[in-house]
Amino acid sequence: MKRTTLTIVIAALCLFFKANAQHSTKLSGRVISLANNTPLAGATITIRNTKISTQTDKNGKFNISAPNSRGDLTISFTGYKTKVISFSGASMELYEVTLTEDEGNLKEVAIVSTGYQNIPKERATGSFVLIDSTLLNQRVTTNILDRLDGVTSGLIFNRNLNNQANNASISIRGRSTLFANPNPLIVLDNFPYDGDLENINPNDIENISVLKDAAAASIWGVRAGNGVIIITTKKGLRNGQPRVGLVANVTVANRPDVYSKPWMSSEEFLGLEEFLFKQGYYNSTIDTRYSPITAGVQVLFDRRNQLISPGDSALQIAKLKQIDTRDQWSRLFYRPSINQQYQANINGGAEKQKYFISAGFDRNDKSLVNESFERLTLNANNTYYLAKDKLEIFSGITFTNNTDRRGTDTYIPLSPYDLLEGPSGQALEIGSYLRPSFTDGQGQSKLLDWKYRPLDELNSNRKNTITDYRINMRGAYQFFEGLKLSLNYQYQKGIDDYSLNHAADSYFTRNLINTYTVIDPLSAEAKSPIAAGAVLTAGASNYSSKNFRGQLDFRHLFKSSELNISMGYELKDYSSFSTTQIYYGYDESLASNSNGLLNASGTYPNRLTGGSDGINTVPSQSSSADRYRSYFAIGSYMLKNKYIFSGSIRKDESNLFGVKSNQKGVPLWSAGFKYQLSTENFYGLKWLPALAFRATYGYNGNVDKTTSAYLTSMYSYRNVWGINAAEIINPPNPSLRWERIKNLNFGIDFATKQNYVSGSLEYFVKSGTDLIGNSLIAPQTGVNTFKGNSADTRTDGIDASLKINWFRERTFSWNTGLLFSYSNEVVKKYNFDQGTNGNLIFSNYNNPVEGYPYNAVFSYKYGGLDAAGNPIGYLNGAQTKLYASIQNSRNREDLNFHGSAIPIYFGSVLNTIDFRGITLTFNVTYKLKYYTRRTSVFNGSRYDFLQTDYNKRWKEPGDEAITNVPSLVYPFNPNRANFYEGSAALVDRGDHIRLQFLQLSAPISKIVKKSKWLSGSMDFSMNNVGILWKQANTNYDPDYGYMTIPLMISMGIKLNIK
Amino acid sequence: MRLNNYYIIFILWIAILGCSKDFLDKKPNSSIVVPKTLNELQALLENHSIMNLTGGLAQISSDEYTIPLASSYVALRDQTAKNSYIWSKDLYGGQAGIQDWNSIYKIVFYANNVLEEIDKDTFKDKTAFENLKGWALFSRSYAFFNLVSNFSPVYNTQTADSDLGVPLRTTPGVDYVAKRATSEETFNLIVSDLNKALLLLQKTVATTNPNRPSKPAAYALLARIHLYMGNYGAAEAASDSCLKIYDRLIDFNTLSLTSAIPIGYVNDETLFFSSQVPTYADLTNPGSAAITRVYSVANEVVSSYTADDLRSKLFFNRAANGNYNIKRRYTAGNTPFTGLTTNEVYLIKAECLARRNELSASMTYLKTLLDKRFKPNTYIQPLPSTKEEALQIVLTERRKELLWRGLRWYDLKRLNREGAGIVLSRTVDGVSYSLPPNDPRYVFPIPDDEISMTGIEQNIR
Repeated sequence: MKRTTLTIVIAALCLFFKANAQHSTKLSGRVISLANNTPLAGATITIRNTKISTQTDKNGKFNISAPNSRGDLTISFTGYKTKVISFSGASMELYEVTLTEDEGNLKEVAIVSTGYQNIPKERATGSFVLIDSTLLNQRVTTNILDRLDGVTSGLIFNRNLNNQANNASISIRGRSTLFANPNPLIVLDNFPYDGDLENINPNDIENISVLKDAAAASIWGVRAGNGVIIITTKKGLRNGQPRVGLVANVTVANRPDVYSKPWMSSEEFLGLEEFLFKQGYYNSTIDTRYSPITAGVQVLFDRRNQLISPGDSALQIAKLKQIDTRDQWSRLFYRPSINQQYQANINGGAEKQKYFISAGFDRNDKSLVNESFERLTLNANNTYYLAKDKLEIFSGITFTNNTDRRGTDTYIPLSPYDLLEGPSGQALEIGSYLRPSFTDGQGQSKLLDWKYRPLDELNSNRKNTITDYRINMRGAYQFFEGLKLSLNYQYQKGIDDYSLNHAADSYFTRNLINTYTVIDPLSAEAKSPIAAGAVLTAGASNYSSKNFRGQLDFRHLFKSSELNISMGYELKDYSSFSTTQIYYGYDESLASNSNGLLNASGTYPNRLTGGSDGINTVPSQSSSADRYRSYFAIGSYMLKNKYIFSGSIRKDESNLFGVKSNQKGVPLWSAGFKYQLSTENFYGLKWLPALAFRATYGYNGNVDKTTSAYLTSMYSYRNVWGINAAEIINPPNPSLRWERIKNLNFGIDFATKQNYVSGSLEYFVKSGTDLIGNSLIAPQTGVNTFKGNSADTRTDGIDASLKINWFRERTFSWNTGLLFSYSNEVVKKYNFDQGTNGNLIFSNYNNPVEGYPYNAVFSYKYGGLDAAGNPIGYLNGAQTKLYASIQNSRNREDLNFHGSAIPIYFGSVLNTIDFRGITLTFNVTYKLKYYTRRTSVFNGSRYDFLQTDYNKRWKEPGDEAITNVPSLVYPFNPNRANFYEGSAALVDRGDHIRLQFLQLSAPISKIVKKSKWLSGSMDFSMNNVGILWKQANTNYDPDYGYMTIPLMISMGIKLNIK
Repeated sequence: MRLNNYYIIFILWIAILGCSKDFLDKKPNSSIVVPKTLNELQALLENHSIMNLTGGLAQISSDEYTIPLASSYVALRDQTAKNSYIWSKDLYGGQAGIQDWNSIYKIVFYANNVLEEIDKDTFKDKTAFENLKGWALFSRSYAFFNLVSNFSPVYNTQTADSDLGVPLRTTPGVDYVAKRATSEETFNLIVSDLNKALLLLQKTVATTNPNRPSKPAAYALLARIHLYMGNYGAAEAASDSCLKIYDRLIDFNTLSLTSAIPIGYVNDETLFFSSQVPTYADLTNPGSAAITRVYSVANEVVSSYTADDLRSKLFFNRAANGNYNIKRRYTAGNTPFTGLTTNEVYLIKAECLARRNELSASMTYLKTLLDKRFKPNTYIQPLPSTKEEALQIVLTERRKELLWRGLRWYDLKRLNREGAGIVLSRTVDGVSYSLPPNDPRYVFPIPDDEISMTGIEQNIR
């Protein structure tokens, strides 16, 4: 930088001497943005103190003549800091003038993408959120969508609902469906993305637009009901110098804390086992001679059979009490995870062309020692401008290869006191599958070793390799100013190869061979239908997706208004095929198998059960097809730069199964209006120079391809006589219709002088109509649940965002971004019976109740414990212990309604502090007013050890005053246990505030000597830092449950080479 | 120039729109069909884990077994199984999803769908069409008979007009509730479905696919129904018609006495395969060398086989703790077989003969069967002198031969109707329970979820 200045000074001096003779100066140069090296078209160049000014052309170039031989040149551009350059002399070539972004003004030039159009945000009537690369780069993750968490208004990650059926991992403005697809549509570079999201390298992403209301999303038609996320990849730069970018990150997280899992101590569990053993609880398990029992029960059993003395058994039990298996489990199965991420790219362009080429590599060594993930991404795109810029041709190709390795054996401790490793490091046997005393005596040494040693099974024998190609072509021709035809085509193909290789000496293979081994009683010869060798399950699934879009853009400028119309036609053809085959007796060196020895329709005696089973050798295939044909039109009309009208209409047709052709399609539309009040002449609020109002209305749709108007069946298996059998998956339902979501959105955008405070406030109402509901139905119909258009929902809410620039000094700046969302969901109508109170509590998602949220948390009213430690409930208002009646009651008066299981209020506070180029960013997220139900708790009749609260249970009279946890009872009392699990005692507020991430970033110029060609930054970031405040007084993370997720620490470097 | 451009665009548009008329007719998933063809409809009936089921309450309520250890009884996890053993008034103890009801109505639903679809079209292959339609009618009849025997009082000519039967659903729609028909209406439908099926079903027994019914199977079912109703003449006629077409028996001398599966899925005696719902494994499923079940076959049954009778070795597994567990018969699966076999038809014939005083003819039928069950030439034909004596011999043999087939409970119901006066009793940990003849607890309650969703009438226990 210093050298550049010096050169300019010397050049200027030379010019100065030469220019003495002349009185005017010719100046030329090119204006580019510092952040991304793009030329800035339309920047204003003014000679200070004169009226002479010009604008840069689309390549950022300008020429200007100054009346004097010396003076100052001001270069300004909306959203950038104005630069002043002194000049003198007859002519001066300024080459590149770089402008730095003015954070406070940046919003105004933001361009949002709908996937069909790029619109300056100030002209958009709809509700958009733009996440630019700065925000995206504040966190290091493998998956791009994870970077939206906590920085996107109105968008929430539903981590607390992960185990629930048909849960959306991400919701935009609440849930708009009950049983159809609940996930937002993901669009990557113009077309819906059909591959695995793990295939996208986050470093290749330029920005993300989130479309929330009808005006923004309706154009995506029947798949827009849950909102749309538009991901745009990086492109090159026309007339830009070649630039090389390098990114390297490493993220380390501590090993997961197995000690935070619900767990009973060895001593407690042995006490429980002894109690249950005396009652005969284990008898039927013991009677099945191969069924696993814990080492503790085995000791008690041996004692009962007088195989060991009372002293020995006491000694053995005492020994077990000392063991805590978690020490070994944590040490041998888990490790700190290390994720590495690298990317290199080169981009630039010439006058008629621009390009972007990148290569990325990720390697994640996950926290389980046998799990890892590798990803290679290659991305290249090129744009040509031909025929005097009338013709634009774009081609892009993306290649991804990722490999996911894991094991097939998932070890879960059988007891809290099993040792995995012996004193000399040898793998120890654990009777998780078969009882050691059974396998000891089996087969008179004719069988293979039948022991299960978890440590020996800890390998990565399961491998998935996904290869994905995406080819994009685009041709656009501008017939004349204002009419452009563009044709887009995308071909995507993905191949997923997977193999599960159970080695010849793996437990899986040994067990399979032994299970079917028959020992001839006369010759004592052992024979198994499964040949020796490995058992390999190999499969491949592939998909291909072809997308075509033809679009005509028309633009006309009237005297004081502007009309934009785009219309087009779109086709999508997605198909997939998968096949699986299992090979017995597989020999890797010869790639041979012994499947020929097996009879596909034969059955083989099972050593354990005494029955006989078929052994599957038949390969299975399946295929699917997804087709759409759509017509769309979007238009906007802007009058006097004050009034903006917008509208869209789209009709989708699909091969929705079993619906008559005329029901296949559904038209969806939107209309919007924006009023820029601050541009009116009478507008007088000087302190609030920008003020605009927006309103939109329209419909989005949603598809549920699993239901049909006709009786549909699915071939599911072969019956025991080898014949193909089918099951009914859908009873006939001739009145089935597509779901529709009505959207209403009002917004205000504002900014104070110089953008010290700017923001927007939106109010929305989303009304789902004809939603497909799933309901319990009388068993006499022969179906358990019935799906039909039976529900209406309504979500209203507020999305607010505010940005405050506290300081904007040269050496110090500090700004705060505030996000606040309120979202209140209510099921307005539900046509079906909603089941018993028990159904409402434990499967509310299957039994929505009118007037309550879809994700409502109900509980049984809880009257504490009685003097014998039994939980007390309510039936028709009176206290009772008739637990079965409480569960089967339909008197809703006996229920508590706590609230929603998803936060009603949520948002974040993002602070960015910059001191001499060193930036500190930290993000605090909050989720308020919602409820969680604790699980894995002792319920009175729970006899395993993976639970908490056992030590808090009622033990003796008087305890009812200090605890809510019922006493231990035997025999098993499911109704008492279910009542407690559904009671108010286990419902807590989920409200919490979390320090989500923080990042410290320093430009490398602070470390490396200033360089003309090298720039970049070094970053240190922390993700999932911790909970700052939590309303409930429990050790339960409302988002993640008992297993808190580890803190992730990343170190990274970004380099740009010119 | 401009006009030309528009023209080109227009042509392009039309070309794109015009292509691929059938574009949207593509099936979304290869394994999903809208069943229309005979093969597609048959695939539904071939689903034996849905179509070939019967309830299990009758088996666990009957006197064919005891649970010798009180602690084993206490440890039972399934509340319905626990309550069944002591004939509690509250049978389900709050449990929902009772398979004895739900699974059997699912058979009705499948059969109704097939019957509705099959009449929408005309098919070239008339034999296949008729056989399939007969199959669906047979399955519906089989299911309703299972339901009415469990959830209604035993058929009684005097009170059938007013006794409650079961809801009769004869169309596949799920948008209506059927109220309970009378016992008379229920049996009318069962018999008329079966008579229709008899005209349609194939004559040959599908030995290698015993999940498919045939004419002999339909006669065997008709014989079973009439025997239960007390129409002995009709029962005998039906058993004659069955045996006339198919009368094969397995000679137990040819079977392995040590095998865990002496008679597998494919055998000479099965006319129609069905097995019990898998809910009550602890009390119904076979034991083996490795598995000792908590139940033991009732002593009076175990001790009723003589030394030359091969059945005691073929039927029971003596566990280390002394329990007599049942072995598999007519199945290689884990749930007990409850279908139709020729030996049952022989026994119906013998019973009907005895009832009309054809004593020696009755004993001859019995001998034909039992010769195949005893060591060669060891069975001696009894010589009863009275009808009662003959009937007693047949009924004892019936109990021994058809053990663990889910039939005993219905025999208790019908025999008590005729005054047999059989009292059942059990003791758990010193507490005795008993079930007097014709007690209302012989009728299982309709599951609570069905009652609460439809409001149909509950049985009073």
